[in-house]
Amino acid sequence: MPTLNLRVNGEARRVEAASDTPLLQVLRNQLGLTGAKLGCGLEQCGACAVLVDGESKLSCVSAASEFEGKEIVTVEGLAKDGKLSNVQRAFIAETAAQCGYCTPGMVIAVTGLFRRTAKPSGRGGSRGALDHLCRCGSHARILAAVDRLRREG
Amino acid sequence: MAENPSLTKNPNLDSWIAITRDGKVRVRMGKVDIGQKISSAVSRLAAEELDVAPGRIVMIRPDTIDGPDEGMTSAQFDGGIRQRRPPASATARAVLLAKAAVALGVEVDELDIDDGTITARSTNSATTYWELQGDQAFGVPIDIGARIKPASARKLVGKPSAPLDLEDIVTGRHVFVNDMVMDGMVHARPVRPPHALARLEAVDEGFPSGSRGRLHRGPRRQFPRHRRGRRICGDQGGQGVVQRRALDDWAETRQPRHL
Repeated sequence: MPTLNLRVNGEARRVEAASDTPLLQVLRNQLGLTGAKLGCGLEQCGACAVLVDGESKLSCVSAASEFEGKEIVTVEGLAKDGKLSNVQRAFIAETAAQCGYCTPGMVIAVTGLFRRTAKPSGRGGSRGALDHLCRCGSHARILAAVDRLRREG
Repeated sequence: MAENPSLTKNPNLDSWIAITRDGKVRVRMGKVDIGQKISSAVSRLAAEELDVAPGRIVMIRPDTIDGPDEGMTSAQFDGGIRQRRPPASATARAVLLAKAAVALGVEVDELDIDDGTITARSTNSATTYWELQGDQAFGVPIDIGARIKPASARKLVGKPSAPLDLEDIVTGRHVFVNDMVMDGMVHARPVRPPHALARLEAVDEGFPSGSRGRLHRGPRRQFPRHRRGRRICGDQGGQGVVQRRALDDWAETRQPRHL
């Protein structure tokens, strides 16, 4: 098995994985980072999103080997020294989750959105969280969290 | 008060509430929290009625063996919670106040409760829920007419509060069923044909996982086989995804007759 050198949540991680093993599988099964979820496995639902060089990317299909040399941040890596990120705090303030399965992907998507632009346009910065599916129907709350972040600047 | 099926079926206070010596109140219910935050709501109701800090309430996950049977375990809105939890907590509160009155040698109406500590106004002597009741059964039925706090005295109910598990959810710590790893666990997923008339004619023997032999003999009996597709198993979470791709690549499908 080829050896991969990944940088995950600020740490260098070395894993052995078949060349087409998706990043999500490496994160969840080999690195024990189960925050990113397997939803559809088809890059359609968004539950597997992680930040790659600051941008929200889906991890369930692309091979982990494509992410060598890039900075991967999972939902576990967003809080610093036990202090939640402003996106995580906004999700809590708006109770922006029901079952919570889509939440890590949503938090990552919104984090990526605000890295691109401080004032995303459209309701809830439309392209950020709206690309992701939430089967519980928490979107209104999630968009409220985005709006809160935009207000707070 | 109207007939309450949950209380009729589970009339004993011990089915619902236990006070432990470590300063916690353990609350049981027969409703499963599937994200509708019912355990958060019930924990607030119990904390309110018992006058303890919300952090002292430990919600016990529903259990069909020794949890209260409340019929269907799932409900988007558990319509009866206001009718049944407060009487349980209010009964517990009344029992604890009566015990404290005896212990402190005063009348019940001279007692104040603050976070589980019961103080006699006249003598300033005090005791706690945990001293009076720690790890002991109540042994009494729920008093359906137990006095419930008037709305004006509520400190928690009706005020905004974050659900219990939300911080774990936004940080990825919350454990979902498919985050669990069990001994000998395998994952499976059905693989369906690309179109209705396709038939799977061959499966490449060289599955990348190297675990095909074991998996196809073992779980074959355990997982239903899709009529036209195949069940693909992997011994690691999500391995089925890889194998499915392998199957997509290597399967030979017959052309539909009309094409």
